[in-house]
Amino acid sequence: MIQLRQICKSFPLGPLQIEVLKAIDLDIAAGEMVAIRGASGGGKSTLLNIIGLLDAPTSGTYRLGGVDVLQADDDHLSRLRNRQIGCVFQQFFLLPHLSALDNVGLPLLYRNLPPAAIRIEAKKMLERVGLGDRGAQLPNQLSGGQQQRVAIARALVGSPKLLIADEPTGSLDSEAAQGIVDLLISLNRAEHVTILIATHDADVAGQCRRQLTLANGLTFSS
Amino acid sequence: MIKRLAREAVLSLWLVRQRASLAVVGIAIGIASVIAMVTAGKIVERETLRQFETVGMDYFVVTFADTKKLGRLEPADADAFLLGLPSVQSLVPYVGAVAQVQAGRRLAEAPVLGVEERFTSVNRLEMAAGRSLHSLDQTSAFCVLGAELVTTLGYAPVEAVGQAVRVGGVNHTVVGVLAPNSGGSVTPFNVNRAVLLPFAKARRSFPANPPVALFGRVGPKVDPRTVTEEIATYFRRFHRETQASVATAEQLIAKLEDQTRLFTLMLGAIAAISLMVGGVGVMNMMLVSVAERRVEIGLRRALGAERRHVQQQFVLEALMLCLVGGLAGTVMGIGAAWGIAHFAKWEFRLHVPAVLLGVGVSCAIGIFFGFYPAYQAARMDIIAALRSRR
Repeated sequence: MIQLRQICKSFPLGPLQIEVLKAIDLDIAAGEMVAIRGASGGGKSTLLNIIGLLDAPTSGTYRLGGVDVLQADDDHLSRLRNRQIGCVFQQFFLLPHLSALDNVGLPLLYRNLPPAAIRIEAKKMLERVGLGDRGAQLPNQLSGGQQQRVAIARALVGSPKLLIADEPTGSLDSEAAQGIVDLLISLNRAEHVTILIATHDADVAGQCRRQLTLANGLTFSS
Repeated sequence: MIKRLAREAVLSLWLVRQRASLAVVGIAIGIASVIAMVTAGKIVERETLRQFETVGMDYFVVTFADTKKLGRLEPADADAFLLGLPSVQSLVPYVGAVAQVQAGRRLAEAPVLGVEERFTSVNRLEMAAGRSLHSLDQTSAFCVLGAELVTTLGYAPVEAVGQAVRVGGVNHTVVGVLAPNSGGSVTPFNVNRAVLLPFAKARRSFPANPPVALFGRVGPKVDPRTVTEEIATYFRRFHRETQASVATAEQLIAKLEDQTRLFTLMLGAIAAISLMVGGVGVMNMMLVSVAERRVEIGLRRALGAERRHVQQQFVLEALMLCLVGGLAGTVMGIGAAWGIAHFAKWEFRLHVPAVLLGVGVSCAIGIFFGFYPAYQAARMDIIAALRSRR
């Protein structure tokens, strides 16, 4: 499903180029649940951003479901993000002025679906993450764990094939974190969503079937 | 989709309602001034046309380049002209001067018009009290007062009749008072402030002031341009000493319309500047808004919003601001125009194109000044936007 070849990413830092990713080769099959570990600043987020089509690599090739996405234009990338990929972030990134239900429905807004259909889908998804009765609440009325569940529901409302989670438990206490991991594992099993988690938490990573370590800009299976 | 977008735009604007309302006020003031100014201009235009209705479309005025050289021009001469001018129905000369008019302790500087009998009818003047001047008055010390002048002298129209007023230091008996006349700006004098003396009396009292103009009416079904030509020809043949110029009602209207149009245009231009300022206010507010909502923009893009979606969202917000401002401004503008008309005692009429213009311009302002901030939002780097601190 995901095929990365010789992916490099470097950032300019003053007169220097900092190479964060050096020639990454990575294959992830559909339905896998992969944890990417590594020290902070080690390039986990950068790799996930590239896989999530939020950022472009400096060089290399990236095929997503057989499509060479680095050749796609911005609108095409937007549509791919909208339909194929769901993103979950450490900071949740819920829009504070929208209800949980409206937050979940956000990605469908960009598919020109009628509002009623968006509502139905969003409600279904909220129920799936165990927050069926919280739809009307604003994000700041929910706990951190609940907010992250809303964010997961938002990531999956459009039934993407790939879910990318960048430190999804990073801002949560261990109990809430475990709840989120359980939810992701059950989504991976029941819905066959391919899940990619960046985490520095060994406990979280240990629960994923496949684990990779990112060090010195290269990946190592572990 | 549109409904949902609109709802979101309203929500987003509500979050920054204080700033948004200031931007709205800016636009509202701009639109209000455009509408008020254009409507007021239109009202003034209609008002001048109304003055012509009072005076009549067959009216014309003959003025001379150098009246001193004209010599004697008596009412009888006017009759003589008429013989040589088939398309003119009536023609009246008048003597113009300015003198102090005094009644008891009250004093006024007033134009003195030496007129003959037909003057009142040719100028469509009406009497509020007493009688008008008569050809038999000859050199008698009689006078007729204009409506405003009579008030200045402290009389009610009826009680003024029979009183003695001093005109240029000589006692005259008031025989009549004119009703207020709205043809003021059409004629070369303001009859409301004037004192009217018999023609011969005025010639005698103000020997230095020769007749300055002739008033006339065009005969029925005559093109006013024929009159212009006839009179010019006549004076070229019989009065070489000075040049006569004729202004017909049509020409006067055209000239006035030009002036009022320029006036309206100028007012509109000034108002447009304030609208521009309002637009810049909206742009500023939208730029701040885009900067503050970088995370939201990054998130929307990450969730699959195309650039045009983000662009649309922000343009829509700017458009809504301007539309609200435009509607408020339209109401304010109409109110202001009504107020101006009310205090100037003009007839108020809504100028519909001005209202449509106001609403249309506010939409255009929204799109124009919303475009650049929205463009910035749409072009934002997703990662950088998501990483920025709120």
